[in-house]
Amino acid sequence: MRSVVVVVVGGVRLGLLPRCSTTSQYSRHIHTSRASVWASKSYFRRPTSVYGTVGVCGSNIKVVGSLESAGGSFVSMAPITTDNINPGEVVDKSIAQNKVMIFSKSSCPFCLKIKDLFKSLNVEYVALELDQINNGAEIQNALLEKSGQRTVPNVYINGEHIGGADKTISLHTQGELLPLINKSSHSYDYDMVVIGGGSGGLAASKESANLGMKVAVCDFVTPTPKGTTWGLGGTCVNVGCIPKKLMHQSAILGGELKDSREYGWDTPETVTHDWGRMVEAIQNHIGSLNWGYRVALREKKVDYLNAYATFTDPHTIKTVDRRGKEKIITSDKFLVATGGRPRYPDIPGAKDHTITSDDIFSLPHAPGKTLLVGASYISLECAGFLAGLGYDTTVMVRSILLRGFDQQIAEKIGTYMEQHGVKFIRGAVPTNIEKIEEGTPGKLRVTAKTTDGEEVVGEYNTVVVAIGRDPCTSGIGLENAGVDLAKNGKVVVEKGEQSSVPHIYAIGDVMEGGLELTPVAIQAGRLLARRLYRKDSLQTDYVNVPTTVFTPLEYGCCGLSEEAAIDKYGEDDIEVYHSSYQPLEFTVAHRPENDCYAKLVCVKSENEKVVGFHILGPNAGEITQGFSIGLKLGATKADFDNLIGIHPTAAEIFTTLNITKRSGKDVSAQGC
Amino acid sequence: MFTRTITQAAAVRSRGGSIITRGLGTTRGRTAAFHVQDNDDFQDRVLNSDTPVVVDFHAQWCGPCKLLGPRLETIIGGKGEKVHLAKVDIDNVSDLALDYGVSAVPSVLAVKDGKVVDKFVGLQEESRIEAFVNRLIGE
Repeated sequence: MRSVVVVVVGGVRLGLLPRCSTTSQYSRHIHTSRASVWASKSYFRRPTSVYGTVGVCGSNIKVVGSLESAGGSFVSMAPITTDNINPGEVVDKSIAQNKVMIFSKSSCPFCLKIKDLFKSLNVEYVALELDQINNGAEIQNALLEKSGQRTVPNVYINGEHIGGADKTISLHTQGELLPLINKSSHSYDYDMVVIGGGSGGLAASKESANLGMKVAVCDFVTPTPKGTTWGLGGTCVNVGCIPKKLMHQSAILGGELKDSREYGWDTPETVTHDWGRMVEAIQNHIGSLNWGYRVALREKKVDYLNAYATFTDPHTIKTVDRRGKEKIITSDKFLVATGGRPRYPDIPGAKDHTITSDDIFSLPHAPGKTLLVGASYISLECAGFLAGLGYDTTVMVRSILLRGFDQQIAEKIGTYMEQHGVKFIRGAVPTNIEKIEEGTPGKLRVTAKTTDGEEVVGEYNTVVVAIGRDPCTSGIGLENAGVDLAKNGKVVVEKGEQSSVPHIYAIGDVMEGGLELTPVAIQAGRLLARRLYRKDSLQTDYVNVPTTVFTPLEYGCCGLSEEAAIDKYGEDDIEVYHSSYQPLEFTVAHRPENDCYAKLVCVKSENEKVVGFHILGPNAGEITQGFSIGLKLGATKADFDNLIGIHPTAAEIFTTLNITKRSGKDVSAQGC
Repeated sequence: MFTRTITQAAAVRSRGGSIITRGLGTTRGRTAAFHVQDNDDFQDRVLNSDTPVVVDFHAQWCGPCKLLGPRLETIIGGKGEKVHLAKVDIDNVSDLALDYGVSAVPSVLAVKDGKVVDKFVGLQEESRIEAFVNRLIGE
């Protein structure tokens, strides 16, 4: 919050109408002298060093300065003096030269309220304080003549008379104030067209619309080779985070049902799981989310086009809907937020016989014996819940697990999964996939080659490929707009998510150098809209973004992996504090003692600042979210040590980490 | 807010709830219930209808809708030709549903002479549905 809060007290009485009545009894006396001054001098130049001059709203002056330095937004006050100037002319010029003009009185609570409203919206305005100038009463009379309103505040926007406090506030409540202020100065159909109705695109579109812009969102899901398609909301909602976490939960429940016997429940030894029922329940929830997005767009007056958009020139797109109906749309600005889709390996049978994360969450039949190809977090998460649900699960990995993540923990995840029923084929890539039996599921024969040149053949009911994702940047005419792409196909951006074409922006999974995480895209979209349409300066911070991999044992992290920290600071300057731990709940359940693990990566030369936070264990996502603010605020190891734990929790392990990796001491769990 | 409403609604599972089919007949053999195909269809068979119409905005993913549907069917079927039942799948005719402010389902409107005269949202007891329909047809 910026320090612009003006508290209105004292002057407000119950029953008082939200406006100020004039106290002046002066007759309508219009000065006519010195009229020529207006032509020769700019009285509406923002006062820069004349604070305190009569006519400038004194109470706000300091605020002006702080606002300017804080965020590039400002509230300006003018004119400096109106003495001996025709009041009618003062009124006319004030209205003509200022986008938002408030005739005000410094003592009037409703004037303060209106000025605060504009400040809160980061809208530049000019207020003429009629009680601080000599001819205020005459100006007020002139206002009455012009607007039919004697009271203050008297608000004009873009030369148009708005009215007093009531009217202004009610316009704002109805979402009509900002559109009046941000009247577009171009002749395009839209101020902003967002291509892609995922997390980032929706956030940007709604925020832009909030700020008064005319916005459209184009969203079109190209069906998968299996014909799977989905509604508005993008990957996370439909084929990512949401169904993934829910299926993870379904698997977790299975494990807890087993635990429940140790806790006294007479849970049958054998419980069965109904894949179809789980999918239906999850898809029902997703359906409600899809509808919620439609409703939200409608409420925000964002036009939704369920059509495929292609740039034809830098300011024009062509949209084609499901029925092939074409439409040409122009816009002042564009946001490319098309996300990514799973990549298929270039081997025979891949597209014909395999599925991806785009299909699995709505698969109508149980997958049966399943092979997952790839060691991405998507592959491991799917393998984790499939094994947890009782399916025979194998993961085929070319080289390392979870590239880019902390490798010690990646290996721990692999070990845990292996101990819990997931088979791993390491150092192998599939070379051929053929169907050997029809059915739901059918049967596939997968031939793979190991790095030693050996051939491995296996039969599976379902093969899920999760070897990576490609950005959706081809086939949308970005070349017609002149947008530069990186080698990996993502949109190259400058600071501020701006592409090589200044009025075209990119966020989310299509943005080069970004992070493929929903909340990052949402933040980027929202902040971009505020920078574009509210003069905000806040940029999305892509550093210390927490995330969690929802493998059977969840892995939460924030900041640098141990390898990345060593790369950046050098091995000598890194101190790693770590410990295995056993959540209390594991004890009675007789789960293993040393599967869960916590580590802090600290920089010695920076007062042991924590640059990497890692936890492997149940509820790691919940734990990591809270601790990550510590990393954002620059917490040191001492800060973690000074923090008092909550007992008995898993997270409290971070308040008592005292073994360094360097010491080589055993970190096996010691019990309570 | 609406999202939560829908989510809660969707969380109530209904298995085996029947979905009314087009052309469901009353005892008189006339079409009393129908699925709205598009905006024109809605204009024609709901707004321009001489008979009052109860409009059931529903979704495939909505559990409570599957419970409410048969209740509406039974009650309206029992009123003979006095009232029709229009069913709108909000995912098929989305803009229409949005035009009528459907943020949660089931949403049920009572339409008479082209005007919405009454509405309710969410699963209701049969007695309340009966009263709702009776108000519409003036019984």
